[in-house]
Amino acid sequence: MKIKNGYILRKVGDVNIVVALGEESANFSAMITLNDTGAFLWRELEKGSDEAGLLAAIMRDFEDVDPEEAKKDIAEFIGKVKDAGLFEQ
Amino acid sequence: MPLYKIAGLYVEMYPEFDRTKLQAEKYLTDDDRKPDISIPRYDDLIEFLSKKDPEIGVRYEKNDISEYILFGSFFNQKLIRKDGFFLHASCVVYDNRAYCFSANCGTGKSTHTAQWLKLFGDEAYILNDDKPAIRLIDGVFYACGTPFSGKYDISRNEMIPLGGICFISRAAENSIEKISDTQAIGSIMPQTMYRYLKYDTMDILLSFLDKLVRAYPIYRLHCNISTDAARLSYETMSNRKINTEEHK
Repeated sequence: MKIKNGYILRKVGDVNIVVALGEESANFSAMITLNDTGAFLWRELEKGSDEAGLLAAIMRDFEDVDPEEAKKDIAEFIGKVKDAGLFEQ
Repeated sequence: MPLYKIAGLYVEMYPEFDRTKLQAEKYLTDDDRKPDISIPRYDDLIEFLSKKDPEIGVRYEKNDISEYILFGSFFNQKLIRKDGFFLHASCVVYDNRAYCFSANCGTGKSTHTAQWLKLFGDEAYILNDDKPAIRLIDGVFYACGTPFSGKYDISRNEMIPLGGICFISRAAENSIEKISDTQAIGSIMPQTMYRYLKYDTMDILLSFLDKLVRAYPIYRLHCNISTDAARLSYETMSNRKINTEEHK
Protein backbone atom coordinates (compact mmCIF):
# COMPACT_ATOMS: atom_id res chain seq x y z
CA MET A 1 0.00 0.00 0.00
CA LYS A 2 2.24 2.72 -1.28
CA ILE A 3 1.31 6.06 -2.76
CA LYS A 4 2.60 6.65 -6.28
CA ASN A 5 5.39 9.12 -6.77
CA GLY A 6 4.58 12.48 -8.22
CA TYR A 7 2.02 13.97 -5.83
CA ILE A 8 2.17 16.90 -3.48
CA LEU A 9 -0.04 17.57 -0.44
CA ARG A 10 -0.42 21.18 0.68
CA LYS A 11 -2.86 23.26 2.67
CA VAL A 12 -4.54 26.05 0.71
CA GLY A 13 -6.90 28.16 2.81
CA ASP A 14 -8.64 25.60 5.00
CA VAL A 15 -8.31 22.81 2.42
CA ASN A 16 -5.81 19.98 2.21
CA ILE A 17 -5.22 19.42 -1.47
CA VAL A 18 -3.32 16.68 -3.30
CA VAL A 19 -2.11 17.60 -6.78
CA ALA A 20 -0.29 15.57 -9.42
CA LEU A 21 3.14 16.68 -10.60
CA GLY A 22 5.12 16.39 -13.84
CA GLU A 23 4.29 13.37 -16.00
CA GLU A 24 1.73 12.11 -13.53
CA SER A 25 -0.44 15.19 -14.13
CA ALA A 26 -1.12 13.97 -17.66
CA ASN A 27 -2.99 10.94 -16.28
CA PHE A 28 -4.60 12.51 -13.23
CA SER A 29 -7.11 15.04 -14.40
CA ALA A 30 -8.45 16.35 -11.13
CA MET A 31 -7.08 16.78 -7.67
CA ILE A 32 -8.35 15.40 -4.41
CA THR A 33 -9.09 17.22 -1.20
CA LEU A 34 -8.66 15.64 2.21
CA ASN A 35 -9.94 16.55 5.65
CA ASP A 36 -7.34 17.06 8.38
CA THR A 37 -7.43 13.40 9.39
CA GLY A 38 -7.01 12.42 5.75
CA ALA A 39 -4.01 14.75 5.39
CA PHE A 40 -2.45 13.22 8.53
CA LEU A 41 -2.97 9.72 7.12
CA TRP A 42 -1.52 10.75 3.74
CA ARG A 43 1.69 11.87 5.46
CA GLU A 44 1.83 8.56 7.31
CA LEU A 45 1.42 6.66 4.02
CA GLU A 46 4.24 8.73 2.51
CA LYS A 47 6.40 7.51 5.38
CA GLY A 48 5.53 3.94 4.36
CA SER A 49 2.89 3.01 6.94
CA ASP A 50 0.47 0.17 6.23
CA GLU A 51 -3.09 -0.07 7.53
CA ALA A 52 -2.05 -1.21 11.00
CA GLY A 53 0.53 1.56 11.05
CA LEU A 54 -2.13 4.15 10.22
CA LEU A 55 -4.31 3.01 13.10
CA ALA A 56 -1.35 3.03 15.47
CA ALA A 57 -0.41 6.53 14.36
CA ILE A 58 -3.92 7.87 14.92
CA MET A 59 -4.16 6.26 18.36
CA ARG A 60 -0.73 7.69 19.20
CA ASP A 61 -1.17 11.25 17.96
CA PHE A 62 -4.83 12.04 18.62
CA GLU A 63 -6.35 12.20 22.08
CA ASP A 64 -9.72 10.68 22.91
CA VAL A 65 -10.04 8.66 19.73
CA ASP A 66 -12.32 5.68 19.64
CA PRO A 67 -10.53 2.86 17.75
CA GLU A 68 -13.70 1.96 15.86
CA GLU A 69 -14.09 5.59 14.70
CA ALA A 70 -10.43 5.63 13.69
CA LYS A 71 -10.87 2.45 11.65
CA LYS A 72 -13.83 4.01 9.88
CA ASP A 73 -11.79 7.15 9.07
CA ILE A 74 -8.97 5.01 7.74
CA ALA A 75 -11.27 2.92 5.56
CA GLU A 76 -12.85 6.07 4.15
CA PHE A 77 -9.46 7.61 3.46
CA ILE A 78 -8.09 4.50 1.79
CA GLY A 79 -11.23 4.26 -0.34
CA LYS A 80 -10.75 7.83 -1.49
CA VAL A 81 -7.09 7.35 -2.40
CA LYS A 82 -7.89 4.05 -4.14
CA ASP A 83 -10.77 5.56 -6.13
CA ALA A 84 -8.45 8.31 -7.32
CA GLY A 85 -5.99 5.58 -8.41
CA LEU A 86 -3.12 6.97 -6.36
CA PHE A 87 -1.81 3.68 -4.96
CA GLU A 88 1.04 1.94 -6.72
CA GLN A 89 -0.19 -1.15 -8.56
CA MET B 1 18.42 42.19 -27.13
CA PRO B 2 14.61 42.53 -27.45
CA LEU B 3 13.37 43.26 -23.95
CA TYR B 4 9.73 43.27 -22.87
CA LYS B 5 8.13 44.37 -19.65
CA ILE B 6 5.27 42.00 -18.90
CA ALA B 7 3.36 41.98 -15.60
CA GLY B 8 6.13 44.07 -14.06
CA LEU B 9 8.82 41.59 -15.12
CA TYR B 10 11.60 42.15 -17.64
CA VAL B 11 11.39 39.39 -20.22
CA GLU B 12 13.96 38.62 -22.88
CA MET B 13 12.45 36.76 -25.83
CA TYR B 14 12.83 36.44 -29.58
CA PRO B 15 9.42 35.69 -31.10
CA GLU B 16 9.70 34.70 -34.76
CA PHE B 17 6.04 34.36 -35.68
CA ASP B 18 3.38 37.02 -35.94
CA ARG B 19 1.01 36.07 -33.19
CA THR B 20 3.48 36.29 -30.33
CA LYS B 21 5.47 39.04 -32.02
CA LEU B 22 2.48 41.34 -32.63
CA GLN B 23 0.71 40.65 -29.34
CA ALA B 24 3.94 41.31 -27.46
CA GLU B 25 4.74 44.51 -29.35
CA LYS B 26 3.16 46.87 -26.88
CA TYR B 27 5.21 45.32 -24.07
CA LEU B 28 8.56 46.22 -25.67
CA THR B 29 10.71 48.45 -23.49
CA ASP B 30 13.87 50.51 -23.93
CA ASP B 31 14.78 50.16 -20.25
CA ASP B 32 18.35 49.05 -19.78
CA ARG B 33 17.75 46.19 -17.37
CA LYS B 34 18.78 42.63 -16.79
CA PRO B 35 15.93 40.26 -17.69
CA ASP B 36 14.00 38.56 -14.87
CA ILE B 37 12.94 35.89 -17.35
CA SER B 38 14.72 34.71 -20.49
CA ILE B 39 12.67 32.67 -22.93
CA PRO B 40 15.05 30.73 -25.19
CA ARG B 41 14.86 31.16 -28.94
CA TYR B 42 12.22 28.85 -30.43
CA ASP B 43 14.62 26.16 -31.69
CA ASP B 44 16.50 26.16 -28.39
CA LEU B 45 13.25 25.99 -26.45
CA ILE B 46 12.10 22.94 -28.42
CA GLU B 47 15.46 21.28 -27.84
CA PHE B 48 15.34 22.13 -24.12
CA LEU B 49 11.79 20.79 -23.71
CA SER B 50 12.52 17.68 -25.78
CA LYS B 51 15.06 16.58 -23.20
CA LYS B 52 12.20 16.31 -20.72
CA ASP B 53 9.64 14.98 -23.19
CA PRO B 54 10.88 13.51 -26.49
CA GLU B 55 7.38 13.81 -27.96
CA ILE B 56 7.42 17.59 -27.70
CA GLY B 57 9.17 18.13 -31.02
CA VAL B 58 6.52 16.01 -32.69
CA ARG B 59 3.56 17.64 -30.98
CA TYR B 60 4.77 21.17 -31.63
CA GLU B 61 5.81 21.71 -35.21
CA LYS B 62 7.54 24.98 -35.77
CA ASN B 63 4.67 27.38 -36.41
CA ASP B 64 2.81 30.40 -35.16
CA ILE B 65 0.42 28.72 -32.73
CA SER B 66 3.05 26.37 -31.28
CA GLU B 67 5.35 29.26 -30.55
CA TYR B 68 2.53 31.12 -28.81
CA ILE B 69 1.61 28.09 -26.67
CA LEU B 70 5.18 27.14 -25.75
CA PHE B 71 6.27 30.71 -24.96
CA GLY B 72 3.15 31.11 -22.83
CA SER B 73 3.71 27.91 -20.93
CA PHE B 74 7.43 28.65 -20.39
CA PHE B 75 6.55 32.16 -19.20
CA ASN B 76 3.93 30.71 -16.82
CA GLN B 77 6.47 28.43 -15.12
CA LYS B 78 8.84 31.36 -14.56
CA LEU B 79 5.96 33.62 -13.51
CA ILE B 80 5.07 31.20 -10.69
CA ARG B 81 8.59 31.64 -9.35
CA LYS B 82 8.05 35.42 -9.34
CA ASP B 83 4.91 35.36 -7.17
CA GLY B 84 2.39 35.10 -9.95
CA PHE B 85 0.25 32.83 -12.08
CA PHE B 86 -2.03 32.91 -15.12
CA LEU B 87 -5.74 32.76 -14.45
CA HIS B 88 -7.95 31.79 -17.39
CA ALA B 89 -10.38 34.69 -17.14
CA SER B 90 -11.86 37.77 -18.71
CA CYS B 91 -10.67 40.68 -16.61
CA VAL B 92 -12.53 43.99 -16.52
CA VAL B 93 -11.39 47.22 -14.86
CA TYR B 94 -13.65 49.77 -13.23
CA ASP B 95 -12.68 52.45 -10.70
CA ASN B 96 -9.05 51.28 -10.80
CA ARG B 97 -9.85 47.75 -9.63
CA ALA B 98 -9.55 44.63 -11.77
CA TYR B 99 -12.31 42.02 -11.58
CA CYS B 100 -11.57 38.57 -13.01
CA PHE B 101 -14.37 36.35 -14.29
CA SER B 102 -13.29 32.79 -14.87
CA ALA B 103 -14.96 29.66 -16.27
CA ASN B 104 -14.45 26.93 -18.82
CA CYS B 105 -14.38 28.02 -22.45
CA GLY B 106 -17.80 28.77 -23.85
CA THR B 107 -19.48 29.60 -20.53
CA GLY B 108 -19.64 33.33 -21.19
CA LYS B 109 -16.74 35.08 -19.43
CA SER B 110 -16.40 37.73 -22.11
CA THR B 111 -20.16 37.95 -22.46
CA HIS B 112 -20.42 38.87 -18.79
CA THR B 113 -17.59 41.44 -18.84
CA ALA B 114 -19.25 42.94 -21.94
CA GLN B 115 -22.23 43.67 -19.67
CA TRP B 116 -19.88 45.68 -17.45
CA LEU B 117 -18.83 47.75 -20.46
CA LYS B 118 -22.48 48.31 -21.27
CA LEU B 119 -23.26 49.32 -17.68
CA PHE B 120 -20.26 51.56 -17.06
CA GLY B 121 -19.57 52.80 -20.59
CA ASP B 122 -16.19 54.46 -21.07
CA GLU B 123 -15.35 54.17 -17.38
CA ALA B 124 -14.74 50.41 -17.72
CA TYR B 125 -12.42 48.48 -20.03
CA ILE B 126 -11.08 44.98 -20.58
CA LEU B 127 -7.58 44.50 -19.16
CA ASN B 128 -7.17 41.03 -20.61
CA ASP B 129 -9.76 38.76 -22.17
CA ASP B 130 -8.09 35.37 -21.74
CA LYS B 131 -5.17 34.99 -19.36
CA PRO B 132 -4.36 37.89 -17.06
CA ALA B 133 -1.38 37.32 -14.80
CA ILE B 134 -2.14 37.67 -11.11
CA ARG B 135 0.86 38.89 -9.14
CA LEU B 136 1.62 39.72 -5.53
CA ILE B 137 3.97 42.69 -5.20
CA ASP B 138 4.81 44.24 -1.84
CA GLY B 139 1.73 42.70 -0.28
CA VAL B 140 -0.68 43.89 -3.00
CA PHE B 141 -2.35 41.57 -5.53
CA TYR B 142 -2.48 42.90 -9.09
CA ALA B 143 -4.09 41.72 -12.30
CA CYS B 144 -1.77 42.34 -15.25
CA GLY B 145 -2.17 42.41 -18.99
CA THR B 146 0.03 39.94 -20.89
CA PRO B 147 0.65 39.20 -24.58
CA PHE B 148 -1.01 35.82 -23.93
CA SER B 149 -4.44 37.30 -24.31
CA GLY B 150 -6.31 34.98 -26.63
CA LYS B 151 -6.94 35.06 -30.32
CA TYR B 152 -8.56 38.50 -30.39
CA ASP B 153 -5.73 40.04 -28.36
CA ILE B 154 -7.91 42.22 -26.18
CA SER B 155 -5.32 43.36 -23.69
CA ARG B 156 -3.66 46.40 -22.17
CA ASN B 157 -0.16 46.61 -20.81
CA GLU B 158 -1.22 47.64 -17.32
CA MET B 159 -1.13 46.38 -13.75
CA ILE B 160 -4.29 47.11 -11.77
CA PRO B 161 -4.96 46.23 -8.12
CA LEU B 162 -7.11 43.10 -7.99
CA GLY B 163 -10.74 43.78 -7.08
CA GLY B 164 -11.91 40.19 -6.97
CA ILE B 165 -12.21 36.77 -8.56
CA CYS B 166 -15.50 35.22 -9.55
CA PHE B 167 -16.46 31.97 -11.29
CA ILE B 168 -19.39 32.04 -13.68
CA SER B 169 -22.24 29.65 -14.43
CA ARG B 170 -25.16 30.37 -16.69
CA ALA B 171 -28.59 30.61 -15.11
CA ALA B 172 -32.02 32.04 -15.82
CA GLU B 173 -31.96 34.14 -12.65
CA ASN B 174 -29.01 36.12 -11.31
CA SER B 175 -27.49 35.21 -7.96
CA ILE B 176 -24.04 35.35 -6.41
CA GLU B 177 -22.45 33.69 -3.40
CA LYS B 178 -19.11 33.46 -1.69
CA ILE B 179 -17.80 29.92 -2.12
CA SER B 180 -15.90 27.71 0.34
CA ASP B 181 -12.13 27.26 0.10
CA THR B 182 -12.73 23.71 -1.17
CA GLN B 183 -14.93 25.01 -3.99
CA ALA B 184 -12.52 27.91 -4.64
CA ILE B 185 -9.51 25.63 -5.06
CA GLY B 186 -11.53 23.17 -7.11
CA SER B 187 -12.50 26.07 -9.39
CA ILE B 188 -9.15 27.89 -9.57
CA MET B 189 -6.86 24.94 -10.30
CA PRO B 190 -8.46 23.86 -13.59
CA GLN B 191 -8.26 27.50 -14.77
CA THR B 192 -4.51 27.78 -14.13
CA MET B 193 -1.75 26.16 -16.15
CA TYR B 194 -0.81 23.63 -13.48
CA ARG B 195 -0.06 20.58 -15.58
CA TYR B 196 3.48 19.22 -15.79
CA LEU B 197 4.81 21.40 -12.98
CA LYS B 198 7.69 20.03 -10.93
CA TYR B 199 7.57 19.73 -7.15
CA ASP B 200 9.25 23.06 -6.35
CA THR B 201 7.13 25.06 -8.78
CA MET B 202 3.87 23.46 -7.63
CA ASP B 203 4.87 24.09 -4.02
CA ILE B 204 5.29 27.81 -4.80
CA LEU B 205 2.01 27.95 -6.77
CA LEU B 206 0.02 26.33 -3.95
CA SER B 207 1.46 28.64 -1.33
CA PHE B 208 0.62 31.60 -3.60
CA LEU B 209 -2.98 30.37 -3.93
CA ASP B 210 -3.10 29.97 -0.15
CA LYS B 211 -2.28 33.68 0.24
CA LEU B 212 -4.82 34.57 -2.45
CA VAL B 213 -7.79 32.73 -0.92
CA ARG B 214 -6.92 34.11 2.51
CA ALA B 215 -6.83 37.66 1.13
CA TYR B 216 -9.90 37.55 -1.16
CA PRO B 217 -13.32 35.99 -0.92
CA ILE B 218 -13.91 33.94 -4.07
CA TYR B 219 -17.37 34.14 -5.61
CA ARG B 220 -19.64 32.16 -7.86
CA LEU B 221 -22.05 34.09 -10.05
CA HIS B 222 -25.05 32.40 -11.63
CA CYS B 223 -26.04 34.79 -14.36
CA ASN B 224 -28.03 35.53 -17.46
CA ILE B 225 -26.88 38.04 -20.07
CA SER B 226 -27.91 41.42 -18.66
CA THR B 227 -26.52 44.56 -17.09
CA ASP B 228 -28.37 43.46 -13.93
CA ALA B 229 -25.90 40.57 -13.72
CA ALA B 230 -23.00 43.04 -14.00
CA ARG B 231 -24.56 45.28 -11.38
CA LEU B 232 -24.92 42.31 -9.00
CA SER B 233 -21.35 41.07 -9.45
CA TYR B 234 -19.85 44.58 -9.16
CA GLU B 235 -21.83 45.56 -6.08
CA THR B 236 -21.09 42.28 -4.30
CA MET B 237 -17.39 42.09 -5.13
CA SER B 238 -16.64 45.76 -4.52
CA ASN B 239 -19.03 46.11 -1.58
CA ARG B 240 -20.27 49.37 -3.12
CA LYS B 241 -23.56 50.53 -4.47
CA ILE B 242 -23.91 51.85 -8.00
CA ASN B 243 -25.46 55.25 -8.44
CA THR B 244 -28.46 54.17 -10.50
CA GLU B 245 -29.00 57.64 -11.93
CA GLU B 246 -25.61 57.56 -13.63
CA HIS B 247 -25.60 53.91 -14.70
CA LYS B 248 -28.84 52.54 -16.01
